[in-house]
Amino acid sequence: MVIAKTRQELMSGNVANLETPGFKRHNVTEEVFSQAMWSAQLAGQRRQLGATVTRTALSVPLTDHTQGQLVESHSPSHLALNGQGFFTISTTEGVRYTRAGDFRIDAAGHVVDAHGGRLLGSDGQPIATEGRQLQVMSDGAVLLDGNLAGQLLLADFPELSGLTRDVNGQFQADGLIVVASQATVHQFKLERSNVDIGEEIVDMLLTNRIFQSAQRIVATYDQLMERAKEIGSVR
Amino acid sequence: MLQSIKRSVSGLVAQVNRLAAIGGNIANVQTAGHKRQAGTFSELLVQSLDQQSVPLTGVQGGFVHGAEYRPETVFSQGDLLPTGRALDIALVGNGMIELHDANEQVVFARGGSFSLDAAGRLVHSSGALVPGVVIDPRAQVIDIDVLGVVTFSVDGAVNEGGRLRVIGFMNPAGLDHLGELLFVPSANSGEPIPDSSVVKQGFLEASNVSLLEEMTSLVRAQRVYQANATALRTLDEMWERSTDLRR
Repeated sequence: MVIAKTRQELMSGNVANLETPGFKRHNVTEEVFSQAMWSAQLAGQRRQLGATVTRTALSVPLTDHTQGQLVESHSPSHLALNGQGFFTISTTEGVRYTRAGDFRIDAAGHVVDAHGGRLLGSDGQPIATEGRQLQVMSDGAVLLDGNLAGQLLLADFPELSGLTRDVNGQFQADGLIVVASQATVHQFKLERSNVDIGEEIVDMLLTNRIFQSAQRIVATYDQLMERAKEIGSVR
Repeated sequence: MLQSIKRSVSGLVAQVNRLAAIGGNIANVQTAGHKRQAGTFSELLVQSLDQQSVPLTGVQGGFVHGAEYRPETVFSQGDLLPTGRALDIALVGNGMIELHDANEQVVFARGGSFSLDAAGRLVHSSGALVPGVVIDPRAQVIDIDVLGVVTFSVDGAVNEGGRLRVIGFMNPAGLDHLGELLFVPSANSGEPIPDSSVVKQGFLEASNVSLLEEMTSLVRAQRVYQANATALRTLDEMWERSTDLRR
């Protein structure tokens, strides 16, 4: 029941973000319980292990990094990535990585994301438009009023599973190897979230049924126990 | 469980806000000078009460987020509609015309229908005045050139009437919308900068709303709303079943 509940929670987050640009869906996999315990032990947690194989446990939530569809947009500061890679953002909390390309220009003329983090160029400095016309080429070159003004810092990671999400849903790479990304940049486009509405709804129905079945099992156990108590009681 | 319900609700609220923006756009599809509202969604951390005391950066495995809608005004150029009226003014470019409202506040408009009051001042359809422009009410011909310089002639004598001030912003999308096609600078819009927009006399700027685009957006909003409602209903059923365990 706990597993079904957790799955449902993750799916509700996916559905809420159906229209969030660059959103990557959450996913969990089921593992056999004894295996789950085994890996917990390897990670250095000292707990007495049960060895039942008939129960299941959940993995930590994983992020599904598949490409989302690119759609047309109205704003010159909307960028989308095609291929593996991330925009590099400088926030007050440190460097973050994102595929959400719904950037805007802030009061100081910097290109910023929805949370105010600044988009970084390959020289490690924020991209500053200073009121000039922004143009971004497919290789990440930044042109202001038609003059070459820099290059976007696009990052990629050989180990995507090591990325963690922060409170704003942006990725954090502590101690991961950063490599240059081969992704192409598209201006006037946004990457749609990779959540498939049909898939999520079907999964939700299935999860609901699993939850129901589990509930029946618990209820049946409860009845059995009650019967056993009746048999055992002296009248 | 409560947290997931909040997440689904955030999805519902985001779509309702989007519907409000779409509704406003469709209502103003024929309003000259209207700038459409469009927005994007971003992830929103939905915290449950019992997690508020836990330091969030230390949590492993990642968060699951709700969604939030952030509308902004799209300042793309609308089509120019010739009206032939001397005091209809439209701008081509990214600039805004400076106006003073009834409280002497500086406000901005993309142009619009102006009229002359008894004192010879140029009045915007919202009631705001154009500062520094005075035209003799007896003027027969009023001429405004591409730079906004106003000249008028009374009985064949040509007089200077002042100039419209056209100003640009670092981030026009950050301007606050006051209604009646007026905008005011905000912390997001940045400092006023010089602008080289062209002033067109005798034209109005059509709304930049595309009905087709709005209708597509409307259908999407409806579907995503439904999906969120389904998620919410499923959670509710599961919760009901958990409480059934005690029977």
